[in-house]
Amino acid sequence: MRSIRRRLLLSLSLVWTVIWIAIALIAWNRSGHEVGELMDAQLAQTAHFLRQITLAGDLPSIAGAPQTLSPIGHPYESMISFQLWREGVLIGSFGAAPLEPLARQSGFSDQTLGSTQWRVFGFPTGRSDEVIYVAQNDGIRRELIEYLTLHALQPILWSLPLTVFLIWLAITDGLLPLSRLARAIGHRSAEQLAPIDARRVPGEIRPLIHALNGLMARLEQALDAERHFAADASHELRTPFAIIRTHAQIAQRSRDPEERSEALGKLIRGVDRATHLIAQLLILSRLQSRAHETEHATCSLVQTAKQAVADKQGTARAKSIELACKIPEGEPGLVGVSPGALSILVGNLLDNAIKYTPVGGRVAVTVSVRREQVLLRMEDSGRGIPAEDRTRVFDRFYRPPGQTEPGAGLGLAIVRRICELHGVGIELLDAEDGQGLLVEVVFCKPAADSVPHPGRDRSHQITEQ
Amino acid sequence: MRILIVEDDLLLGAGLQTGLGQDGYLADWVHSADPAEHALRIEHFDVMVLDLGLPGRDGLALLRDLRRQGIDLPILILTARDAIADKVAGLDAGADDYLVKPFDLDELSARIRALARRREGHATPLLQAGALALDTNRRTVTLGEQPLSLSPKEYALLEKLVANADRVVPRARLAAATYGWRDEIESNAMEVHIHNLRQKLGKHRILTVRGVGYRFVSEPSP
Repeated sequence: MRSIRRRLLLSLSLVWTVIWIAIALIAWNRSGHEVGELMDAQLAQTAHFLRQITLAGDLPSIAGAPQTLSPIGHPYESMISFQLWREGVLIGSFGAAPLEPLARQSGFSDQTLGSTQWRVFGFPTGRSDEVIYVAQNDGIRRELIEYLTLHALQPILWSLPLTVFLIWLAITDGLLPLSRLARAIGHRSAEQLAPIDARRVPGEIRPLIHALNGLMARLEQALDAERHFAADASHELRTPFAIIRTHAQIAQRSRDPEERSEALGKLIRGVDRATHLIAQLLILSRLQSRAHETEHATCSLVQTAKQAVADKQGTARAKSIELACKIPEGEPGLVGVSPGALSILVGNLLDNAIKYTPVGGRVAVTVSVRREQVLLRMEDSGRGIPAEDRTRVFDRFYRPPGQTEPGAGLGLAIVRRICELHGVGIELLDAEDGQGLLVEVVFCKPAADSVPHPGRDRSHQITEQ
Repeated sequence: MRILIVEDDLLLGAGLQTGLGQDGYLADWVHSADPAEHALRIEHFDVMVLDLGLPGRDGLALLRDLRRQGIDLPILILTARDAIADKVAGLDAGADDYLVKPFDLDELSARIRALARRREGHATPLLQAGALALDTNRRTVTLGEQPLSLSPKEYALLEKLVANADRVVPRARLAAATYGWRDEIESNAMEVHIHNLRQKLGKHRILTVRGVGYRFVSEPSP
């Protein structure tokens, strides 16, 4: 049942009908009882009257009277009969009474004689073995009860359609604020996310409005982030495209083969930069929309860190950087992060460490498994990040002053997003020997039910690389 | 003409330097605000090309500081910020022109030329001194009907001299307009170029003012 109106109409009509039937039954019962009492009293009275006549000796004249109805009587007269029995012999009768005794007992009783139901009052006259039976056809009682009940209730029955109509009107009126609200929301465009005014709506709808307003606020926030993201992305792509265009134009205009090949080389580097930027942006936007996939994710930090160190060994060697790693053997160090996200996180941090460490420097990767947590520490011998910049470096596209290494400023933004999604703690600290940066990442161990089968983890590792 | 490029991006800065060099300009390049300010203090530049998103002091802050110090060279902002508000802020801070990345090198050159022209007080790209005519757009020189063939350095010297015709141009300013930081200046290089110019134009058009510099004579006495 999807329509509130139909639902209310039906249930109210049903309730109304049930109540009506109950009233009718009670009325039937009551009036039946009262009519019965009245008629029984009438029977008893008639019996008393007949007894007086009988004792006066006048009954034979009554018994002999014609049995036709008088025109000044009442149609119900024929329904009343009586018999006078003396010592088993029918002395006299009146009305539609049969020839057999109407009853075998004195007092009130219900009798069926032939096809007729009788209400009988047997009354001994006091003389020996003389009984008067006064009887009334039961049909008349029923007719009277039906008549009384139905005539009393008929107007109410007739008013049923009117009542349903009135209920319908009342429901429509009651639902008016809802349809007004629906119209107001329906007319909004996708950009109109201002909260709905909850002051003038009925209290029943207010929770709905509050919920809707909450949703719209969240939507507005998400849209805003999206808009900023698009603006930032298009802004950040302008520089690589300017590089590409400039060097393409230089190559086009140049007659010097050496100058041309140098320009083409820089053009290719510009294309690489744009490609890297786009890839980073894609990772970020995918992370943005995949919040729900982080549940039950699990991966081995030990494996991932080993893999990352192996991958970056070449880059480190090219800068003569010593890439040390302290990773425990024989322990997987499972963490509640999806394998793809974990390798991006570790990879980005290691990339940064190597990038900002001068030639001949040192980068150390340490994984330690504790009771509740798994810890990743990455320490470099670069310039470090001043304390006041340590929050901002996680912002998209933010690059601290004096940065000479190329980069889009997205690596740490991606790291932060992954941390947020997976409930991972990250902190930038001074390196322990005073120079360089120490990145400390604190992972929670995954819940026991999401620990994968042995081997599954490794297969993920390979496909995600 | 000598241009100062302030651009932190290594690939783009190199491209600007090479591209403007192809157009015959002397382009020097610094990566951030402080060296730019220093360069302007010690040397003469005709136009500055300024990126806004610089590390450390922002381009806009540098622009305001320069204008506050009374440095009035034409400045063209070259930036990725394409919002109207950014353009307005840049121009209001004292920039003379605003170009959004990515850009066309030819357009950048043309805008730089226009800025330099206005700076010298000319509205047209043609410099005229008697029978001598310089087209600063195409960097061509004609004497009467006769086109002259000049080397880039000779052209740069002549353009500076003709733009300041009948006035003495100090030697240092001529050198600044002709030699960038990448050029190795031999002690007598300028004399060699002046000598060549005299041969092509006639002896009496460029006079030596001893100890000061040179003067271009627009109407030589017969």
